[in-house]
Amino acid sequence: MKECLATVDLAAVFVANRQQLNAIARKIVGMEHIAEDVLQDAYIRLVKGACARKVDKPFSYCCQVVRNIAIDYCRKKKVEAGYREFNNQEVAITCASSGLNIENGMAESQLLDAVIKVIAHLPERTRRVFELHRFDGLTQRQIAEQLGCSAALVNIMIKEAMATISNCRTLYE
Amino acid sequence: MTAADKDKIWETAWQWAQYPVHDTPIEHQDIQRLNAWLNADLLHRQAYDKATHLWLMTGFAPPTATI
Repeated sequence: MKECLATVDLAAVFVANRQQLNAIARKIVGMEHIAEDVLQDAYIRLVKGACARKVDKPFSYCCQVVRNIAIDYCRKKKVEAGYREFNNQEVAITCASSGLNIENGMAESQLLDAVIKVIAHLPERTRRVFELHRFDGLTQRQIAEQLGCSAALVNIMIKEAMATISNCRTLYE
Repeated sequence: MTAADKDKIWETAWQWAQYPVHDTPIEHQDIQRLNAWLNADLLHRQAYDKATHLWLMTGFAPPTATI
């Protein structure tokens, strides 16, 4: 029941703030029609996909999901462009054989559950550094200032966090 | 293909997944390097697809910090 309410909450927040979310996507992807694709993708994930979960700050979470999908779209567009030029034939084959089925909300939801668990189990300080780096987009120097430690230590902690999360690769096999 | 080879491919893919491709001009030499690497072997491409998806998942994790 709680989860249902959370999903309704995310959907309502999304709809009420659609314009602002569109602006976030547009700023990253540039073109309006791609921004709309991003919003559509984000909406589906937030309402019935991996991101349909109980969160403390629904609006902030909607922004986070939109921003990350927009960045992922941009990355794909840039890399696919170069890839297709070289190897038009193989794109479909590789995508089909990569074993990723992100259309399947259930599978992605389980992957995300596992990643959340791994992040939650990082040492407290490492987790804090990771979140400032990944979610707040702070530079290593800014994180060091905020936590009162050296930038070198921040760098080590980010690498540790990434190495731990990297172990999630087994989930894809 | 040994386990060590596979690890190396994954490691490279995971590094690329963390690279700000979206923020880098398409003509930048790093993007060209990435495309060359992806085109060199189907396994590179498959590892990259998984690594970028995992990276996206880290972006979907709700912050746990209560501050």
